[in-house]
Amino acid sequence: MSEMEQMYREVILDHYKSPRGHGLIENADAQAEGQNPLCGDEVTISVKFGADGETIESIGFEGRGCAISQAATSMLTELVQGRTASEVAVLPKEELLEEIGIPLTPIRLKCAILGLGVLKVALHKAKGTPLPQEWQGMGDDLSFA
Amino acid sequence: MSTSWSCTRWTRYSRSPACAVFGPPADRRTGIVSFELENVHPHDVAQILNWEGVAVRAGHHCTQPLMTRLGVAATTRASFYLYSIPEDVDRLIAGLHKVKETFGV
Repeated sequence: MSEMEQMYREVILDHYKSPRGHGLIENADAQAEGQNPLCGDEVTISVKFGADGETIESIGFEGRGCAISQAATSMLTELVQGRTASEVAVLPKEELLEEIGIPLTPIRLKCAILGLGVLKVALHKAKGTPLPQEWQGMGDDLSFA
Repeated sequence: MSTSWSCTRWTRYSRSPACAVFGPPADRRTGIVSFELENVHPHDVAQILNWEGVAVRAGHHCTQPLMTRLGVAATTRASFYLYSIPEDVDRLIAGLHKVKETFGV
């Protein structure tokens, strides 16, 4: 498979064109937005917890950006459904990258993990879950470069 | 610099409804051409063009207010200069067809 076929394999294009969990949730329990100023990718994620106040019952996002950033965020919403806020707070980016399953250059890597960072910020703001150093500096009016 | 050959070739392509070219008409242009392919983000356009051997820039080009005004997140930007040859334009256009084919647009 060529490099091109790998990066833009069918599953990526499918998530890009028909994103799962698309659209923000009304009366969300947690929400954050973030962007990558170098390329202008933007993602906003909202989360609603279940009765236990911990488990992610529903998650939705809106954003615009390259196929990688939007497809990765779409995949993320499937990945974290039913997990608790504290589980997601420590979710390693490698788990998402494995799901995405394509080779990424350092620049495209930032596209791929933008959504995960925004989600961690949302949970941190709502539940006070730990926010690792790597994700600090992301927030409503902040971005990571 | 005479860009008539590139503009003629380019204009032919950019009349396609799926491709919007920003900026003044061809006779008042320099060799810089910013454009948008419908439903494909410029970084994806640039990535595929790169694999096809065509180097372009993509992004907001540090002109975020202009991007907002144009209603786009970013644009793809091709630059022609003294060393560019007509075949470069053909190659760019072939590359854009490859982008469309990959994204199914």
